[in-house]
Amino acid sequence: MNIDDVFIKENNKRILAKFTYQPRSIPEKKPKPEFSEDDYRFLSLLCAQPYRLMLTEAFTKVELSAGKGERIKNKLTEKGLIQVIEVFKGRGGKKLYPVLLSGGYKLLNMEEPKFEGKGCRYEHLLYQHLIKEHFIEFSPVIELIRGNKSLDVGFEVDGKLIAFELAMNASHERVNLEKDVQMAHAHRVIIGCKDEKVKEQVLKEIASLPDEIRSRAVVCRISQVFKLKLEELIKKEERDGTDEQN
Amino acid sequence: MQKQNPKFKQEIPFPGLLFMQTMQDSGLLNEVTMAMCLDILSDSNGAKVMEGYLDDLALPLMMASMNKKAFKNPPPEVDGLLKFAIDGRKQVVGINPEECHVLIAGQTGTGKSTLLKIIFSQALLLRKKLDVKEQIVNWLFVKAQDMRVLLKVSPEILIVPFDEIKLNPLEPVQGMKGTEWASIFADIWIQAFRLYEGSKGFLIECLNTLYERNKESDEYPDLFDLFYYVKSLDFPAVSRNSRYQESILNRLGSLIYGSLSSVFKCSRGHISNLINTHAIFEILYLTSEQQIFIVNYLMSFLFYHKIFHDKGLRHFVGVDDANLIFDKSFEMRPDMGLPIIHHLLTTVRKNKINLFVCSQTPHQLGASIHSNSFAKIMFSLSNGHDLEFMFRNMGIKNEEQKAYCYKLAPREMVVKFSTRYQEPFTAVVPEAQL
Repeated sequence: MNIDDVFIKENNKRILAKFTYQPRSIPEKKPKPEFSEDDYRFLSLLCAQPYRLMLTEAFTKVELSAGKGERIKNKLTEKGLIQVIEVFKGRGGKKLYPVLLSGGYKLLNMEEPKFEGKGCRYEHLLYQHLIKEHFIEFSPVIELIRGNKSLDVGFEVDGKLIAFELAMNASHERVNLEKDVQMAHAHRVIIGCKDEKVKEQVLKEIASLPDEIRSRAVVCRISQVFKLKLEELIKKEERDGTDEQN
Repeated sequence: MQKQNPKFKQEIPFPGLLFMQTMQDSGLLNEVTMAMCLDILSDSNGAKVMEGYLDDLALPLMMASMNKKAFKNPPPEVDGLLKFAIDGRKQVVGINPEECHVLIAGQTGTGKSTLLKIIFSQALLLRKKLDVKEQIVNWLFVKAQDMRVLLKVSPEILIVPFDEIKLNPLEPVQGMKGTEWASIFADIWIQAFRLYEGSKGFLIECLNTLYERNKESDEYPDLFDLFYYVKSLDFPAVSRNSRYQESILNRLGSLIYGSLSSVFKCSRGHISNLINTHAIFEILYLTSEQQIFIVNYLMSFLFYHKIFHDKGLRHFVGVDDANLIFDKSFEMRPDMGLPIIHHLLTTVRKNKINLFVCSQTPHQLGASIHSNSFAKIMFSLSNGHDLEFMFRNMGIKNEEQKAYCYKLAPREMVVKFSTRYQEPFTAVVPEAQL
């Protein structure tokens, strides 16, 4: 009998075939949820209070530290559930506003509110809400309908209709102004432009309008809208020509 | 008045008898010298005749005295069921299964392994003898592959493959509570890894928690569960508990993520099968801590298993390099308590576990093995400390005997039994070709 490795291996195999053992059971790893409780709380807040809270205010409301909140913000932005929009209100630097996107509503199993109007992108909607909030004492209405024309934001003071139009681009602003004046009978139309380039384009667009329409318009950067004083707006309607605000 | 022979200081009452004894002791008793003896007996002046014959035999007597063995020839009582040696007069030397234990001391190449092979090969076949009712299961812990030849005697020997065997050291003996086994495991652990009492207490606490958690399930925690549990505990960085935690994690990590990693991945291992299987554990590729741990664990499990489940089995356990587990330094740590092996040695006789322990440096072995051995066998030793130690252990006080021990030939041994025949004697291990 040759006792070599082959023999030993076969012999061992024969003997071990009669042996039994109970393997170690490894508990099933619970899959890590994609979104944490904090994620859901943050999204729920944006759903409950859309277009109202700045980013830091939102963190505070759901009791998130700046660091943790920042991580959540980045994660949710990356996942396409929120969008953080920079807003310049003229003073104090940029403000960041988190906005819940369609994907976010879907995750929360909530219906996304529908807003009328063309080009109702999130940025546009945010500005509408901010303007409304800014002039809250006058009870402004988003998408106020007058004379079959929808105004981005509108309110009445002493029987005079003040209309706000947000120009993300200059394409429809000439028609908007015409309709706001002729159909809605707005006494003042404030056109808030996204940036300087849009503002120039808007001015160019409305330059060919008749004076009685053009004189009702105030064209400025959106950030300047928040600096406007109502009394000045009303007084300005008595002057001729468009009023260009810088 | 009898004439006094100058060789003998006393009177010679029976010259014929004396002559015969002298011839026997010198190994010169044969037909010729027996005839001389008869002459002495038949002569009235036997003493003078004896003198004459002694003068004639002066040279052979001188030669005989030069070759005279310091040790007496043993009587037939030294024979036993398991024969392992033979003396100069062809008297067979053996032990019986009920005689525990055997200490075998000798330097490399003197015959220790051959002795083990001879004993274990007979133990493997013992059941076939009619007058033996006990079944003997043989375990060998060796650091070489030379015991594999025993497979020629019986193929029912598992050469334990450490990459295929499964063992859970946290699996308690059936019938024993997990919390009871926890203390035993902790003892084995701190002995193997030279930890202190504090770590032991911490380890027991962790183990008890794990056993409690697994109480309702059909599974036992294993070393991996212990590792993850200890790791999950949170202690201040400078606390004692964090030091115990670190000590245990270091050793556990090296054990479960080292060469024995796959061995420990089980809830219930092969240990219950191994109890009833002849096995050779070749531990040469394990680290010294792993060797101490594995040997101590298996022997502790075997011992406690036999307490709870006495099936009439006898176990022969051979340990090559017994210093690994019987080192006297283990007995010199009062904070660690007596090593588990000490308790095993003092009580294994009742539980039918026979230990055959080999050592190259017997003076470094603990007192427990020396005190509890039925047979002490000394081959040639090179270290004076070892020799002196064995002399004391074996009761060798005669200077001639001591001098003889310094010149033992290969395979020649000095044997001392604690009963049957209590004088040390010499014998030779025969050449064993399996």
